[in-house]
Amino acid sequence: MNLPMPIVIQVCFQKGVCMMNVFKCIDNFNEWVGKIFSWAIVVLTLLAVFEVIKRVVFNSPTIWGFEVATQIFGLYFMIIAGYALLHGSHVSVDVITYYLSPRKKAMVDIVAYLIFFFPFTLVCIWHGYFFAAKSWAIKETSMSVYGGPVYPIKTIIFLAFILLFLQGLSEVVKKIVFLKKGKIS
Amino acid sequence: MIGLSPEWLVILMFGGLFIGLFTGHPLAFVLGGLSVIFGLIGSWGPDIFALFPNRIYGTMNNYVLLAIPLFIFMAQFLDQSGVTEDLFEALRYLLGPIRGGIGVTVILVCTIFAACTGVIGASVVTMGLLGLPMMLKYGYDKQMSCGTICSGGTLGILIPPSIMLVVMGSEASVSVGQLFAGAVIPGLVLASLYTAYIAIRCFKNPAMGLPISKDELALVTKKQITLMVLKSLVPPVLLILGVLGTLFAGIATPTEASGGGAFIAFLMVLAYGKFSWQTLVQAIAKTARTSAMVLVVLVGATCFTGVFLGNGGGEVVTNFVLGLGFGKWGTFFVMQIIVFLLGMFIDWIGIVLICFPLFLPIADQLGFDKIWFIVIMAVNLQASFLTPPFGYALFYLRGIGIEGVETLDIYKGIVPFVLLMLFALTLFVVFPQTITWLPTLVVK
Repeated sequence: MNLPMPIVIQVCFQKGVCMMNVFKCIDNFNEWVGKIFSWAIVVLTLLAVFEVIKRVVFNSPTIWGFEVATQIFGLYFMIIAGYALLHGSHVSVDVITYYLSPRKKAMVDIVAYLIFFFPFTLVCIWHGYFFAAKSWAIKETSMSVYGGPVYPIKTIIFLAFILLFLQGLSEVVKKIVFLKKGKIS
Repeated sequence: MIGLSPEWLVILMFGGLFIGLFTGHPLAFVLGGLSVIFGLIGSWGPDIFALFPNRIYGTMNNYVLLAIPLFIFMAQFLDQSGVTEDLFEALRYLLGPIRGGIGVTVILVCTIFAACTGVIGASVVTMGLLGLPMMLKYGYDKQMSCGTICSGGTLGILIPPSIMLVVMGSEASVSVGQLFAGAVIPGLVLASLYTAYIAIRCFKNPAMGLPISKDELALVTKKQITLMVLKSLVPPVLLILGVLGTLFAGIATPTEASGGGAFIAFLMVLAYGKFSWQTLVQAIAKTARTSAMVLVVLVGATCFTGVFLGNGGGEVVTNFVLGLGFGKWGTFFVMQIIVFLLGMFIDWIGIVLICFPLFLPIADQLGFDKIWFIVIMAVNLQASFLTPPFGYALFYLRGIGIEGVETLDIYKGIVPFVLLMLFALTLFVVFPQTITWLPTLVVK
């Protein structure tokens, strides 16, 4: 997560810091997080192939393969949730909103964000923090033979929801700007 | 803390779900938002929120679900390899001389790719672009052509490997391999029914489904056709055998089989000479977005069902449904109708995640076979892609914008196919062996 930071800061300073650019930063940051972590799928593919070959051909399964793959999977889809929101990939039903004017649709969207999105992400950030803190306090490990640490992966819930929350803010701001200026900035 | 009674909780949560969905807000966050609202006013109180990270971690720490992004990755590579287009061309020449040949080709290609990918959307778009103009050119009924493509593409969620069956297996804690095995025969029966319907309609109406013209056929020799068929059919069939074979033989877990499948599909991209860095990056980005789309709904839904079940909603629904006094089969019928009706508005992910925790205990109490019951639900859920006002397959086809095809043609076109699907559903209920037989042969 440290890697894309300098790039994002650079982008922000180049354009001069003002309100809008803060949200541009969020977009850029989630874009980078998405671009980097989406490569995890390659790792997961290779891990699966490696594990099968190890077990079937060499008859010696690894003790860590299962757990490492599962943890990468959890990291993968959670951390890119904000990136998916940026690209409007989440499943939604547009039976009614399909027929609304863009202005009305933007207003409905903002209300929906206030009722559903923000309360949910805030609750998950709040409780996600305590969930992770409890695990860090005892340096929790898994129950398996491998017994790898689980506190880093448990922290992902907290981090992923922060990214998601920020992306939600950015999306709402874009809609407000659209309502004020009448066009997409 | 109002301490809402469980009865009101059930009514308001489902009411809220429909209102929330119609705002066009992402399903995942509608479910999550409702879980916060009703967590606050439910009888348990806001302490229930402490469960959220636990339940979310349960979704993250789920080895079975790992198969989902891997199958999506595999589908992306297959799409890029261009083998669908090749296979369609090859089979079109092979079956072209027969009446209704192109319609049958569409269903066949869809069936093979249903067995390769497990994601609909891709096949509806591809077949819509390739098949629809061809079918219209050869005098097929407009409505039937649209119905063929939508229903054929929808087979992708039923015929294994299917990401829907992976979600179902994980939700119901049953073996994904068993579910895959159970869905093979129903998928093939549906494909055969669709094929038979197209053939019969073409034979009854001589103006429809004309054979391929002599001029066009003269462009290629028999040898060329054979070569085309071999080149485009053998690799996908090997992929299917590799993925399902290792899975059914118990050599690999569904997750490992999906990873292997993605790897083989990547090799196919290389072999067909379609590889470039750009396409690889594209496949990775698309996989990430599609996976997040499916899996984040699971996150919202696990919080929703946590609040719903934690505040006693589950017992209310169970007691209500069992208290209707419809008996074993009457209750079964009611549950299937609910799934069918929900399918008009919500897509399969929402339905599976909301209905499974409610219906499976009821089905269990009534003594239904679990694998059979889930596969029946899977067949039924195909309708959720086809039934207006909200059906994915219809949207995809409309999105392509083929000239001369109106939305109403698509809506009317799917009617006979949905009826065929319901007929097939009845068959599987009357002859449960169609579903339960194959899983007995497969390694558990």
